[in-house]
Amino acid sequence: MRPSSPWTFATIFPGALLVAVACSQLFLTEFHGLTPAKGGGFGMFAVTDIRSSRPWSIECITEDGEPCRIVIEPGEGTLGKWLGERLRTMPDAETRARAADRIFAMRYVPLDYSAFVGRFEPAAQVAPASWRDLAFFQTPFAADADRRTAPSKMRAIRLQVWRLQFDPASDTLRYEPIGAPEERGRW
Amino acid sequence: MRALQRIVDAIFGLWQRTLDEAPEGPVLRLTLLLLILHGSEGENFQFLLRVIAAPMLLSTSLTANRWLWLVLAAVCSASTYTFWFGQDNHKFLTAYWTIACCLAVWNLTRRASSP
Repeated sequence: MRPSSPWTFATIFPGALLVAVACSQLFLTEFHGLTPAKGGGFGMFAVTDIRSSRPWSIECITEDGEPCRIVIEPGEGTLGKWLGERLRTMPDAETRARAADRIFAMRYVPLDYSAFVGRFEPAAQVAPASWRDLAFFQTPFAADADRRTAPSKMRAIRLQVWRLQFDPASDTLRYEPIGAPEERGRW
Repeated sequence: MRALQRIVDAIFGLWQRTLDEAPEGPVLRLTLLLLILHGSEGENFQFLLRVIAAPMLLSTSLTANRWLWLVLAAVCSASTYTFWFGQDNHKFLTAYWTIACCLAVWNLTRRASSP
């Protein structure tokens, strides 16, 4: 006769839960773009791909047909806490699509590029040099937005999230894209 | 000088009482204090944790109440589940620990009630 052990659940559950969370985090990190620094943090000290080194870039075309760029800083709250955090920590296809929909639906005012570069260096680094000649825009909700100019919609936007990776071949750090760019409007 | 002596005696008396009581008592109360101060990143969940944990911390009869610990473990788990991708990693540990406390309290209660 087997001894009854009603507390088997209590002895197994904590360890099983830990293993389940670790396995889920490893799976999401490998296949869905979750940063190793979140979701439990397994492996976070072995990578450069942390939350704060994940900028996003937003190319755009104004209603007049001019190429431009939109600056939405992660901390300004334009995308909301949930979506803004999700876009940085796990920008899977669904999250990118939701963020692109919201960014495309908003209106924007012009921004001085030189003010942007010094303030948010990681995002400036993923911008090609040619982008420096483009007009920059931000939402009217940003702290230093020009509220005298009437906000306008964009004809098209393209959203790309990046992560910082170490390249052992060249011994350098470089930004690489996470997933495909998300486009909205008429390009 | 006598006042200082009284203060020192009071502090050491409190420390002695803490050492004399059952070992789970201080552990549970420190856990409740942690949940009140840094239990969750969500405002609603944090409010719930404070409403439940504060009476448990103040009342010794509620400190080891297994049903309240079950609720605390559920709130911590729900908080982790809803914002798992953004919350600090030590909040996962807090949730694990709260679940472990819940299981321990249920186990203690069961042992105490068994003949």
